[in-house]
Amino acid sequence: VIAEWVGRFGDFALTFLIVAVYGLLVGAFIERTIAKVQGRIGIPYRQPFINILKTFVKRTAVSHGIMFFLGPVFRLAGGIGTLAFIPVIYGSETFANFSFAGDLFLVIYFMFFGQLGMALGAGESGHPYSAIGIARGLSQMTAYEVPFALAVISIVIQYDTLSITEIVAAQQGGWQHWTLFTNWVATLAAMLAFLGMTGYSPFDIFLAPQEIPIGPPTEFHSAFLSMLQTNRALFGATKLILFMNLFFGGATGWIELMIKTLAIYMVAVVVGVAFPRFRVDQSIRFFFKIPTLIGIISIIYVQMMFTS
Amino acid sequence: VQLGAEAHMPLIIGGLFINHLLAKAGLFWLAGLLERTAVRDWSALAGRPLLLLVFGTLLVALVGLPPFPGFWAKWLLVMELADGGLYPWIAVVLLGSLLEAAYLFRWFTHALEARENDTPAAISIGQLAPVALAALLLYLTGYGMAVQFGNGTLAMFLPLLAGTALWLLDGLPGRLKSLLLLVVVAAGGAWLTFDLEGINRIFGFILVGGGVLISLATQYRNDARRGFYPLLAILLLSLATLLRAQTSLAFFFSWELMTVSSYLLITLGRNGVKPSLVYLLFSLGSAYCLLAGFALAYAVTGSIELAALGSTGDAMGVVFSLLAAGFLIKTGGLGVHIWVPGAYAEADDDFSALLSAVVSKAGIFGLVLVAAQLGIRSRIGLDPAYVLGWIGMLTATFGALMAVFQEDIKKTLAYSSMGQLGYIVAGIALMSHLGWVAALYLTVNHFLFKGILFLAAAGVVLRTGERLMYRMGGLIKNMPFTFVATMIAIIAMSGVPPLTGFGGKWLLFNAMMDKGWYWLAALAFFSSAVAFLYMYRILHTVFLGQRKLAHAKLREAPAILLIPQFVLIGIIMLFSVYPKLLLDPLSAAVSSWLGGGLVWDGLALQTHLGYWNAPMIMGIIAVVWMTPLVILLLVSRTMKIQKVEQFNIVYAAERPHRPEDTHFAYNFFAHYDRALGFLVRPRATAFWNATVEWSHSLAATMRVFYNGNGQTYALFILIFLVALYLVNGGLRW
Repeated sequence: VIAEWVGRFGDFALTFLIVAVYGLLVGAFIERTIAKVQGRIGIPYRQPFINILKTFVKRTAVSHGIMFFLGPVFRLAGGIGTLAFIPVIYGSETFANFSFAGDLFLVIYFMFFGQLGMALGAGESGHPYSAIGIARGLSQMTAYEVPFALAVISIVIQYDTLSITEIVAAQQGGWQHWTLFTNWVATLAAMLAFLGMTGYSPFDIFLAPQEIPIGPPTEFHSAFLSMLQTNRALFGATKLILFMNLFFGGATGWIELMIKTLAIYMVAVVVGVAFPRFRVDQSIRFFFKIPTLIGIISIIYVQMMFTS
Repeated sequence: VQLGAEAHMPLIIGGLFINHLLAKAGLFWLAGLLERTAVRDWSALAGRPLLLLVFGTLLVALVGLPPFPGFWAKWLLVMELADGGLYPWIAVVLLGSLLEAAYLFRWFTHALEARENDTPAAISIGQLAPVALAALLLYLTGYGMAVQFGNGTLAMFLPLLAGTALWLLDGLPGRLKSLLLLVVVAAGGAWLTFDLEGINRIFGFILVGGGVLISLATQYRNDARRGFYPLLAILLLSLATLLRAQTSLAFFFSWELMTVSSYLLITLGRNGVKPSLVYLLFSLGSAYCLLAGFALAYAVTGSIELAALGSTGDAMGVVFSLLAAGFLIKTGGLGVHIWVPGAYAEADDDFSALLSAVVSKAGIFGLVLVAAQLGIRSRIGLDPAYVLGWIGMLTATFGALMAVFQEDIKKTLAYSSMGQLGYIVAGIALMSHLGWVAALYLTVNHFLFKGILFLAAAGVVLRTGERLMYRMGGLIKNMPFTFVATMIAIIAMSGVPPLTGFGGKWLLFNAMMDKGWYWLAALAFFSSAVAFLYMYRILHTVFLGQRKLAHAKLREAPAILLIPQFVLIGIIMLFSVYPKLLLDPLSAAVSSWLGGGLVWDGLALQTHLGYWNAPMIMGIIAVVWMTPLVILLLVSRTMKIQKVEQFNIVYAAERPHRPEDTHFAYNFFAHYDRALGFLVRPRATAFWNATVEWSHSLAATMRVFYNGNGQTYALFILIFLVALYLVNGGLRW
């Protein structure tokens, strides 16, 4: 039994490595794309790796206390854990991770794990900008959670399961079986929620890169920061994989995964480049209008189409 | 007593007569002694325990609350009215009772609040003797009536006996009394509940076991707390007798006893007098809904057995609605929730924990009882159930929203309780095996985490002397144990895996999807997201951020407050790692009412839709969490970690002036208020205020008839006689 579990964690370590590296590369790609749009050259592809390495080996660090110390641990564990409960490659035993322990509902709730832990760590830093960033981020989260929840309920009704593996299985056999085409209303609602989830403009005020230095992570540096940077890439890629599984037919190989997730990501990037930032109350109102309405329609739609 | 017999008239009239005679005689006598005509001036009684006891006894008897003769007579009257089909009269009697309670207890409220420049009443024991005798006779005749009704058993009167015993020992030091209370309640409660079965047994563990555990915290105060311990004994033991009730009469007796004792306990809080009146009126409103429901059920079935509720036939919908309304008031359902913040916030800090974690579960128990008896044996239970589900989820959503905007920590927790009970109500409304397992699981979980949170708040309030959260901050350094307890409780509440909260959310979501209640499931997602806001706010504004300079030397909360919290944490951890331990008994208890069972695949719980392997999830998360921690610890060995104070921060190239200015805490969710605040403007409060206003105006209008002029009264008598003559056949055509 022990050997079996060691093997499983070994397999998962491989998944983790691939997804983390991929996430960092995608991050660099997006940075470069945005730079090109704005008439700059942008960063080299190696830059995110250098950043992590550089911060990781800094020789001094300042700690504000135990929760501050644990904040990045919670954050990274949240990212890794979320990935751990998602089957990454359909049909592959190696890359199914620990999805047999819990279902989609677990994944959705586990996403909060890292956010809550990080919020506590940032809170102990004592920096008001951290607290402001968290208050904004949490508020915005309650709003985009609504269309997202409605879309999830819609596809749970459609596929009659909470198992991510089974949801992906139901979408196999050609692009016309993807949720994108069988339940485009739910996909639309989820993609609008996705804009909020990624934290790109117009929903980036909780990070507010200009006015508030960098939001919640303000006080974090050195090895703490390198963990947060790793997690940002990893967690971003994990969310993309989740969306790919739920709405875009999953992936049977890594190449398919990369093409699909990059395409999903580009939605957020294109919107982000094109639209200026919302204030928090504006973004909350935004999510409660059209996206929520679409989410509601998606449940009515799926009840008409898939249940008798 | 056999109901429906002619011989009842003497009992009703005699009971009411004796009750009224003794209570009124005592009150007039007392008024004569006191020589104060304006009720406001009765504040002369404030701080005089014996006088207040006598005065309170007379008032409670006059309103018709247990154990006095008026209670039994009124109950019988209402039953007989229902039997005779005189339903409008029941409404009149109960509404009258409620109004009577309103003015009588407002009078009591004045007597409780000492005012400045008040001369205390000069009444000697000898002078008081006749009044005290009237009060004593009321207790004795009350017991006599109970015997007549076949309810004069030790089990029924144990709460009052225990209360009396502790009252006689009220001169002892506080800690000793607290110890006695624990012994009495543990022994009495164990004796009352040991032979319970099924769902009642589970509630027995929460109400009695939980009650004793949280009462342990009362040890943290050593002041006299006159009346606190006797009343608490009555309250906790009446919860135990409530669980034993076989008849609606016994249930109602315990329910009213619980209402009176919890009301009086709230008045003992620092500013508890005003909110306690609101609490009492809503509680009595709740009790009268129950009484009306029971009366209607009796009229239809001819039995007062609780088990007979199921055979109410066509009247089932109305009976269910009345009883459910009564219990919803008690759980703080949306619209009738306005008593919640005042009562929870202004009660003594340790009693708030009991109110929220333990006493609120009595309403849940009642709802389960009613739903079990009424909802299942009929097919019509479905539609009211859906309405109940909506009420539950809207309560959850609005409770959370209101909690977000509070500055007072106890009010935040109060609204949070209201919201969390909303989930439980929705779970009961599901009327399915899984839904009920979810509801009971959430009930147990709410008891666990809310007990911790209110006790932690008690410790914080004790040390800082503040309840407004923005006046605190950075207390993690001074009170690390309290912080850890609060954090674990909040994770257990939030639903974030791997603690118990996740199981509750997962079960409820699955049960709702099974039932096809998709909108409610979506609302559950939203309300639990909103709940994150106030949960983080509690942790941040109290324990994190910048510490006030004045708080630099605060100590950790007393150990006796921490012990119950950490016992509760232990239970949370146990159920988090191995929820089967909790779920199997719950499932077994539910299956005697709602068929079905939980499907286990090894340690994984399976539903139609999903699966949940809690021990495995816990293990995986532990590994995933430990890995970065170990790496960070290893790295931090090679580098110099400098520990700095909170105020040592990078602040746009400036140093902020003082930590006080730098703590981001007040109006924490201002932007949320701008977006969604319009949803929680106090509409319910405005509605109930308007109700009070209208009652006052109506009463003022009616008063014109009582103008004190003898000739007017003579005219009334004449008109009355003429009317009587006409009605009695003087008018023939």
